[in-house]
Amino acid sequence: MADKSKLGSRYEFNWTVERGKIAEFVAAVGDCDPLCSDPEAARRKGFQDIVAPPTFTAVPIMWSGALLKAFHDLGIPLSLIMHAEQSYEFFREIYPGDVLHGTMEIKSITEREGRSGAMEFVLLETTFTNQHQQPVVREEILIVERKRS
Amino acid sequence: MKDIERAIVPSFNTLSSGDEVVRLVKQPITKLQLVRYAGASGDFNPLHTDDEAGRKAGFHGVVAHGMLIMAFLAEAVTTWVPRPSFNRIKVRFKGVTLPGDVITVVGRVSEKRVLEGQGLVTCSIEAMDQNRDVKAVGTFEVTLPL
Repeated sequence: MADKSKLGSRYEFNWTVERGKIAEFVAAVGDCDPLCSDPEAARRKGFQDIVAPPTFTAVPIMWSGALLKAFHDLGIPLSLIMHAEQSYEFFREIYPGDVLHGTMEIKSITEREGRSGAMEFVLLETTFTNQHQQPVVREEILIVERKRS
Repeated sequence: MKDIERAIVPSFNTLSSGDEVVRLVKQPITKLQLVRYAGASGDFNPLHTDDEAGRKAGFHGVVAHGMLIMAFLAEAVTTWVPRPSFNRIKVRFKGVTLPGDVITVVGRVSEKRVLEGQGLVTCSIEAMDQNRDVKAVGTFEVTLPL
Protein backbone atom coordinates (compact mmCIF):
# COMPACT_ATOMS: atom_id res chain seq x y z
CA MET A 1 0.00 0.00 0.00
CA ALA A 2 1.12 3.52 -0.64
CA ASP A 3 2.87 5.38 2.16
CA LYS A 4 0.18 7.86 3.21
CA SER A 5 2.71 10.09 4.98
CA LYS A 6 3.81 11.20 1.48
CA LEU A 7 0.48 12.92 0.83
CA GLY A 8 1.20 16.52 -0.17
CA SER A 9 4.79 15.82 -1.22
CA ARG A 10 5.93 18.08 -4.06
CA TYR A 11 8.48 17.51 -6.81
CA GLU A 12 9.86 20.48 -8.73
CA PHE A 13 11.76 20.15 -11.98
CA ASN A 14 12.91 22.18 -14.97
CA TRP A 15 12.89 20.91 -18.53
CA THR A 16 14.18 22.49 -21.74
CA VAL A 17 12.03 21.57 -24.72
CA GLU A 18 14.31 20.43 -27.55
CA ARG A 19 13.15 20.48 -31.16
CA GLY A 20 14.54 16.99 -31.70
CA LYS A 21 12.59 15.62 -28.74
CA ILE A 22 9.37 17.00 -30.19
CA ALA A 23 10.20 15.28 -33.52
CA GLU A 24 10.90 12.01 -31.71
CA PHE A 25 7.59 12.22 -29.82
CA VAL A 26 5.64 13.12 -32.98
CA ALA A 27 7.17 10.14 -34.82
CA ALA A 28 6.42 7.72 -31.98
CA VAL A 29 2.78 8.79 -31.77
CA GLY A 30 2.40 9.11 -35.55
CA ASP A 31 0.83 12.53 -35.00
CA CYS A 32 -0.04 13.86 -38.47
CA ASP A 33 -0.69 17.49 -37.45
CA PRO A 34 1.71 19.61 -39.59
CA LEU A 35 1.61 22.19 -36.78
CA CYS A 36 3.82 19.82 -34.77
CA SER A 37 6.41 19.14 -37.47
CA ASP A 38 6.43 21.85 -40.15
CA PRO A 39 7.61 25.32 -39.00
CA GLU A 40 6.37 26.97 -42.21
CA ALA A 41 2.90 25.46 -41.84
CA ALA A 42 2.87 26.57 -38.19
CA ARG A 43 3.84 30.17 -39.11
CA ARG A 44 1.21 30.31 -41.84
CA LYS A 45 -1.35 29.48 -39.15
CA GLY A 46 -0.07 32.30 -36.94
CA PHE A 47 2.12 30.33 -34.54
CA GLN A 48 5.70 31.41 -33.87
CA ASP A 49 7.11 27.91 -34.52
CA ILE A 50 6.07 24.27 -34.40
CA VAL A 51 3.97 23.39 -31.35
CA ALA A 52 4.53 20.32 -29.18
CA PRO A 53 1.71 17.72 -29.32
CA PRO A 54 -0.91 18.09 -26.55
CA THR A 55 0.40 15.24 -24.39
CA PHE A 56 4.08 16.17 -24.77
CA THR A 57 4.46 16.88 -21.04
CA ALA A 58 4.66 13.09 -20.57
CA VAL A 59 8.29 13.66 -21.63
CA PRO A 60 9.38 15.99 -18.81
CA ILE A 61 7.27 14.05 -16.30
CA MET A 62 9.13 10.83 -17.10
CA TRP A 63 12.57 12.01 -18.20
CA SER A 64 12.93 14.42 -15.24
CA GLY A 65 12.49 11.41 -12.97
CA ALA A 66 9.75 13.23 -11.00
CA LEU A 67 7.08 10.56 -11.45
CA LEU A 68 9.44 7.70 -10.66
CA LYS A 69 10.64 9.59 -7.56
CA ALA A 70 7.03 9.97 -6.41
CA PHE A 71 6.33 6.25 -6.92
CA HIS A 72 9.55 5.41 -5.10
CA ASP A 73 8.64 7.65 -2.16
CA LEU A 74 5.14 6.16 -2.06
CA GLY A 75 6.69 2.70 -1.93
CA ILE A 76 4.71 1.41 -4.91
CA PRO A 77 6.69 -0.89 -7.22
CA LEU A 78 6.45 0.03 -10.91
CA SER A 79 5.23 -3.47 -11.76
CA LEU A 80 2.05 -2.96 -9.70
CA ILE A 81 1.06 0.41 -11.15
CA MET A 82 -1.84 0.70 -13.56
CA HIS A 83 -2.79 4.01 -15.15
CA ALA A 84 -6.47 4.58 -14.31
CA GLU A 85 -7.21 8.11 -15.51
CA GLN A 86 -5.46 11.03 -17.18
CA SER A 87 -6.56 14.61 -17.66
CA TYR A 88 -5.14 17.78 -19.17
CA GLU A 89 -6.09 21.41 -18.97
CA PHE A 90 -4.33 23.45 -21.65
CA PHE A 91 -3.46 27.13 -21.16
CA ARG A 92 -0.73 27.88 -23.69
CA GLU A 93 1.24 26.21 -26.48
CA ILE A 94 4.68 24.66 -25.86
CA TYR A 95 7.39 25.70 -28.36
CA PRO A 96 10.93 24.43 -29.05
CA GLY A 97 13.34 26.17 -26.70
CA ASP A 98 10.76 26.70 -23.95
CA VAL A 99 12.04 26.08 -20.44
CA LEU A 100 9.24 24.43 -18.54
CA HIS A 101 8.99 24.43 -14.78
CA GLY A 102 6.97 21.51 -13.45
CA THR A 103 5.51 21.10 -9.97
CA MET A 104 4.12 17.66 -9.21
CA GLU A 105 2.12 17.07 -6.04
CA ILE A 106 0.70 13.93 -4.47
CA LYS A 107 -2.87 15.24 -4.12
CA SER A 108 -4.73 12.28 -2.70
CA ILE A 109 -4.37 8.65 -1.68
CA THR A 110 -7.75 6.94 -1.47
CA GLU A 111 -9.08 3.44 -1.08
CA ARG A 112 -12.05 2.26 -3.10
CA GLU A 113 -13.84 -1.05 -3.16
CA GLY A 114 -13.26 -2.81 -6.46
CA ARG A 115 -14.36 -6.17 -7.82
CA SER A 116 -11.33 -7.88 -6.29
CA GLY A 117 -11.45 -6.11 -2.93
CA ALA A 118 -9.97 -2.81 -1.78
CA MET A 119 -7.86 -0.93 -4.32
CA GLU A 120 -5.70 2.07 -3.64
CA PHE A 121 -5.72 5.13 -5.91
CA VAL A 122 -3.08 7.84 -5.97
CA LEU A 123 -3.76 11.18 -7.65
CA LEU A 124 -0.79 13.23 -8.87
CA GLU A 125 -1.28 16.78 -10.12
CA THR A 126 1.38 18.51 -12.19
CA THR A 127 1.34 22.12 -13.25
CA PHE A 128 3.74 23.51 -15.84
CA THR A 129 4.76 27.09 -16.42
CA ASN A 130 7.13 28.40 -19.08
CA GLN A 131 10.16 30.71 -18.91
CA HIS A 132 7.79 33.73 -18.92
CA GLN A 133 6.07 32.36 -15.78
CA GLN A 134 2.93 31.77 -17.84
CA PRO A 135 0.79 28.72 -17.05
CA VAL A 136 1.09 26.12 -19.80
CA VAL A 137 -0.59 22.87 -18.75
CA ARG A 138 -2.18 21.37 -15.67
CA GLU A 139 -2.53 17.62 -15.70
CA GLU A 140 -3.69 14.87 -13.39
CA ILE A 141 -2.51 11.29 -13.33
CA LEU A 142 -4.62 8.79 -11.39
CA ILE A 143 -2.91 5.48 -10.81
CA VAL A 144 -4.16 2.35 -9.11
CA GLU A 145 -1.97 -0.10 -7.28
CA ARG A 146 -2.64 -3.63 -8.45
CA LYS A 147 -2.94 -6.40 -5.89
CA ARG A 148 0.36 -7.97 -4.93
CA SER A 149 0.29 -11.64 -5.86
CA MET B 1 -9.09 32.15 -27.68
CA LYS B 2 -6.25 33.72 -29.58
CA ASP B 3 -6.77 35.33 -32.96
CA ILE B 4 -5.18 32.59 -34.98
CA GLU B 5 -6.62 30.01 -37.29
CA ARG B 6 -10.02 31.51 -36.70
CA ALA B 7 -11.02 31.06 -40.33
CA ILE B 8 -11.13 27.29 -40.01
CA VAL B 9 -12.69 27.11 -36.56
CA PRO B 10 -15.89 25.04 -36.66
CA SER B 11 -19.14 26.90 -36.19
CA PHE B 12 -20.69 26.73 -32.72
CA ASN B 13 -24.19 27.47 -33.93
CA THR B 14 -24.54 24.54 -36.32
CA LEU B 15 -23.46 21.92 -33.76
CA SER B 16 -26.06 19.66 -32.18
CA SER B 17 -25.88 17.21 -29.33
CA GLY B 18 -24.91 13.79 -30.67
CA ASP B 19 -23.02 15.12 -33.72
CA GLU B 20 -19.91 13.10 -34.50
CA VAL B 21 -17.20 15.76 -34.67
CA VAL B 22 -14.04 13.68 -34.25
CA ARG B 23 -13.01 10.47 -35.98
CA LEU B 24 -9.40 9.39 -36.28
CA VAL B 25 -8.22 5.93 -37.34
CA LYS B 26 -4.61 5.23 -36.40
CA GLN B 27 -2.16 2.85 -38.02
CA PRO B 28 -1.91 -0.57 -36.30
CA ILE B 29 0.14 -0.44 -33.10
CA THR B 30 3.54 -2.11 -33.55
CA LYS B 31 6.09 -3.32 -31.03
CA LEU B 32 8.55 -0.95 -32.68
CA GLN B 33 6.16 1.92 -31.98
CA LEU B 34 6.11 1.00 -28.29
CA VAL B 35 9.92 1.03 -28.25
CA ARG B 36 9.86 4.43 -29.93
CA TYR B 37 7.26 5.78 -27.50
CA ALA B 38 9.28 4.43 -24.57
CA GLY B 39 12.36 6.26 -25.81
CA ALA B 40 10.51 9.47 -26.69
CA SER B 41 8.55 9.70 -23.44
CA GLY B 42 11.09 8.14 -21.09
CA ASP B 43 8.56 5.57 -19.85
CA PHE B 44 10.74 2.46 -19.79
CA ASN B 45 8.37 0.23 -17.83
CA PRO B 46 9.39 -3.17 -19.35
CA LEU B 47 5.70 -4.11 -19.55
CA HIS B 48 5.65 -2.12 -22.81
CA THR B 49 8.81 -3.42 -24.49
CA ASP B 50 9.66 -6.84 -23.04
CA ASP B 51 7.26 -9.72 -23.77
CA GLU B 52 8.50 -11.64 -20.75
CA ALA B 53 7.63 -8.71 -18.45
CA GLY B 54 4.20 -8.55 -20.11
CA ARG B 55 3.62 -12.26 -19.45
CA LYS B 56 4.71 -11.90 -15.83
CA ALA B 57 2.06 -9.19 -15.45
CA GLY B 58 -0.59 -11.60 -16.77
CA PHE B 59 -0.76 -10.54 -20.43
CA HIS B 60 0.27 -12.47 -23.56
CA GLY B 61 3.21 -10.15 -24.05
CA VAL B 62 3.84 -6.41 -24.22
CA VAL B 63 0.95 -3.96 -23.88
CA ALA B 64 0.84 -0.39 -25.17
CA HIS B 65 1.50 2.59 -22.91
CA GLY B 66 -1.80 4.09 -21.77
CA MET B 67 -0.22 7.45 -22.56
CA LEU B 68 0.20 6.45 -26.22
CA ILE B 69 -3.56 5.97 -26.42
CA MET B 70 -3.95 9.28 -24.58
CA ALA B 71 -1.80 10.89 -27.29
CA PHE B 72 -4.13 9.44 -29.98
CA LEU B 73 -7.19 10.82 -28.18
CA ALA B 74 -5.71 14.31 -27.94
CA GLU B 75 -4.44 14.21 -31.54
CA ALA B 76 -7.96 13.30 -32.66
CA VAL B 77 -9.35 16.47 -31.06
CA THR B 78 -6.74 18.58 -32.88
CA THR B 79 -7.97 17.21 -36.22
CA TRP B 80 -11.24 19.05 -35.49
CA VAL B 81 -10.36 22.30 -33.73
CA PRO B 82 -7.28 24.56 -33.68
CA ARG B 83 -5.00 24.03 -30.71
CA PRO B 84 -5.94 27.26 -28.86
CA SER B 85 -9.59 26.11 -28.89
CA PHE B 86 -8.75 22.87 -27.06
CA ASN B 87 -9.35 23.54 -23.35
CA ARG B 88 -9.30 20.20 -21.60
CA ILE B 89 -9.60 16.44 -21.86
CA LYS B 90 -10.10 13.76 -19.23
CA VAL B 91 -10.19 10.02 -19.85
CA ARG B 92 -10.45 6.76 -17.95
CA PHE B 93 -8.52 3.76 -19.25
CA LYS B 94 -10.73 0.70 -19.67
CA GLY B 95 -8.51 -1.97 -21.15
CA VAL B 96 -5.07 -2.70 -22.50
CA THR B 97 -4.06 -2.18 -26.12
CA LEU B 98 -1.92 -4.81 -27.81
CA PRO B 99 0.44 -4.76 -30.79
CA GLY B 100 -1.63 -5.18 -33.96
CA ASP B 101 -4.62 -3.31 -32.55
CA VAL B 102 -6.08 -0.60 -34.78
CA ILE B 103 -7.28 2.27 -32.62
CA THR B 104 -10.15 4.47 -33.73
CA VAL B 105 -11.00 7.61 -31.77
CA VAL B 106 -14.56 8.95 -31.96
CA GLY B 107 -15.87 12.15 -30.37
CA ARG B 108 -19.45 13.40 -30.19
CA VAL B 109 -21.03 16.63 -28.97
CA SER B 110 -22.75 16.19 -25.62
CA GLU B 111 -23.42 19.76 -24.45
CA LYS B 112 -23.22 23.36 -25.69
CA ARG B 113 -23.34 26.52 -23.64
CA VAL B 114 -22.39 30.17 -23.95
CA LEU B 115 -20.03 31.67 -21.41
CA GLU B 116 -18.69 35.25 -21.56
CA GLY B 117 -19.48 35.62 -25.23
CA GLN B 118 -17.89 32.38 -26.33
CA GLY B 119 -19.25 28.96 -27.12
CA LEU B 120 -18.20 26.12 -24.87
CA VAL B 121 -18.71 22.64 -26.29
CA THR B 122 -18.35 19.49 -24.18
CA CYS B 123 -17.95 16.24 -26.08
CA SER B 124 -17.67 12.58 -25.24
CA ILE B 125 -14.65 10.75 -26.61
CA GLU B 126 -13.59 7.15 -26.76
CA ALA B 127 -10.82 5.03 -28.22
CA MET B 128 -11.66 1.53 -29.39
CA ASP B 129 -9.93 -1.25 -31.27
CA GLN B 130 -10.92 -3.18 -34.42
CA ASN B 131 -13.31 -5.33 -32.35
CA ARG B 132 -14.96 -2.23 -30.85
CA ASP B 133 -13.41 -3.03 -27.49
CA VAL B 134 -13.21 0.32 -25.70
CA LYS B 135 -9.71 1.19 -24.46
CA ALA B 136 -10.39 4.62 -23.02
CA VAL B 137 -13.44 6.79 -22.53
CA GLY B 138 -13.87 10.37 -21.39
CA THR B 139 -14.80 13.94 -22.21
CA PHE B 140 -13.17 16.99 -23.71
CA GLU B 141 -14.06 20.66 -23.96
CA VAL B 142 -13.40 23.21 -26.70
CA THR B 143 -14.10 26.92 -27.04
CA LEU B 144 -15.62 28.10 -30.30
CA PRO B 145 -16.56 31.61 -31.41
CA LEU B 146 -20.28 32.37 -31.59
